[in-house]
Amino acid sequence: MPTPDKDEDEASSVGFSLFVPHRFIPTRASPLPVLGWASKDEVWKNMLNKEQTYLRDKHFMQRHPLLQPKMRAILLDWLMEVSDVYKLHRETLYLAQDFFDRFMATQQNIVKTRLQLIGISALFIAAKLEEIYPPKLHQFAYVTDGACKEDEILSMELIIMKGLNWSLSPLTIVSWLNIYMQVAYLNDLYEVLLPQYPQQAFVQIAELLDLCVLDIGCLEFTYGILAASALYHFSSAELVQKVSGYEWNEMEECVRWMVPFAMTIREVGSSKLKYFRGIAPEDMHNIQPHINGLDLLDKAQAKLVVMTEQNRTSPVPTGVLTPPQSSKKQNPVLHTNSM
Amino acid sequence: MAHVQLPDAAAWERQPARRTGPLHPRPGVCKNLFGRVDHEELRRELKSKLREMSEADRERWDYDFETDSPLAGGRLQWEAVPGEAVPAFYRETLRPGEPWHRDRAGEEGGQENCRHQPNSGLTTKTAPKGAAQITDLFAKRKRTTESKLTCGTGLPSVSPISPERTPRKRLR
Repeated sequence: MPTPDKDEDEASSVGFSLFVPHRFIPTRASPLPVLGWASKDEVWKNMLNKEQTYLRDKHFMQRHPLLQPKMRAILLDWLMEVSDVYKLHRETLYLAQDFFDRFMATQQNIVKTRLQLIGISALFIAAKLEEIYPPKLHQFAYVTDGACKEDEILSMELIIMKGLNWSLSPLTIVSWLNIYMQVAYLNDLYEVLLPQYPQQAFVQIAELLDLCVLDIGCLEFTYGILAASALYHFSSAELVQKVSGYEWNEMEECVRWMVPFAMTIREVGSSKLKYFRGIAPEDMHNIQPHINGLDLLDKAQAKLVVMTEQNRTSPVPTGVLTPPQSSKKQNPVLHTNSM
Repeated sequence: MAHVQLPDAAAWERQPARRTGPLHPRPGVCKNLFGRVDHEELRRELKSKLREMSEADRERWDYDFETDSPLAGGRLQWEAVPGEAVPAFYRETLRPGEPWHRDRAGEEGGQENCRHQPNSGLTTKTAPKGAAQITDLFAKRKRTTESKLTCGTGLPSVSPISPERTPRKRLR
């Protein structure tokens, strides 16, 4: 396979992107290293392909006049809480979020009393796909406090899967983040399949994404862009460009949108690696914690209102969250709160 | 109770119960998010949605999935093929009501994570007695005397095909 992306490797600096003619859409350069088990170009092509085939409808709420964006936030926040209690992986939660959003785009006039059933059924499907030991059906029904019965979850499971036409393996936001982090911290041995990055750094960025995904505005952006923008808020445009293959102009809008969320996380986020009993230490960062996202979302949305006008034309501040620490210089990657 | 032995760490790690968290998690997570649900109405809704879906499948495949039989006079002509011609996977069957894996036998609702309502696929179908099953259209799978002779190696009374069960998922 030829590598059509080669010439993009020496990507222009941030300032130059302003002069790229609008009609020119660069092929996203592959950040992947040479892989021992597959062609890196094929793998990259498949990944980009998923981004194009798993489409979300950012206006899906318009199909459901009786629903409000806040209800989606309440549902997803609760699904995070359920994930926390049952120690489900982040990937499971983000799969459920993807199933929920895409399913809702295939439906009409859903009322709020059906949301919890759709949500828990999406998590049920995701857990069966992703977890080695998924919780039992009755455990999913139990956490709904009587709102959803077991047979209703089974029926909804089938309805969702048919609605999604059995397309159940998107590349989620959190899996993109994982890839970027992995590439950012690649060591000389190119151990791509084993995590090389510090768990603490991953958890901080994931927390930002946990907050962002509660806001319906996230549907504006692809999963790859969302993860890249979150990474940007903890690092630099250069790094994100290198590990994601995005040009600055492709992610700028999302980076801007994310500013109030990043500020909120900086001010009140926990950004601690949560301890889960019975989970292997090296897997700890992959378990989905509950971050009390609704409070954070209120704060972030209040900031958003204030900032929308004044920030529209001003440049995006770099390293919004923490200034780079000189002690971490030899590790040029991320600014994390080491506290 | 004094001599109860705790499993060693490695064995403990493999206990499924440990991974899926507490059976009864803290009450805080148990929430009805959006108010009272009318389950009667919901069930009617789900049922009609499922019926709608299976109607669409029926139309699409000219096949009655409820009774596992081809529809006559449709666009598609269904043709029986010998059972031996299909991969073994499709020939595995499970009798209705039989637990799908041994460990679940005593557990309440042993099939809780797999559905046994419409559209569940052929293996767990509970077709009414007398209705044709698609498996009836397959050739019988018992080894004939002839095949026994040709490959007879003198193995005593081992059933020609291993017991019909869904292969048990191995736990890592």
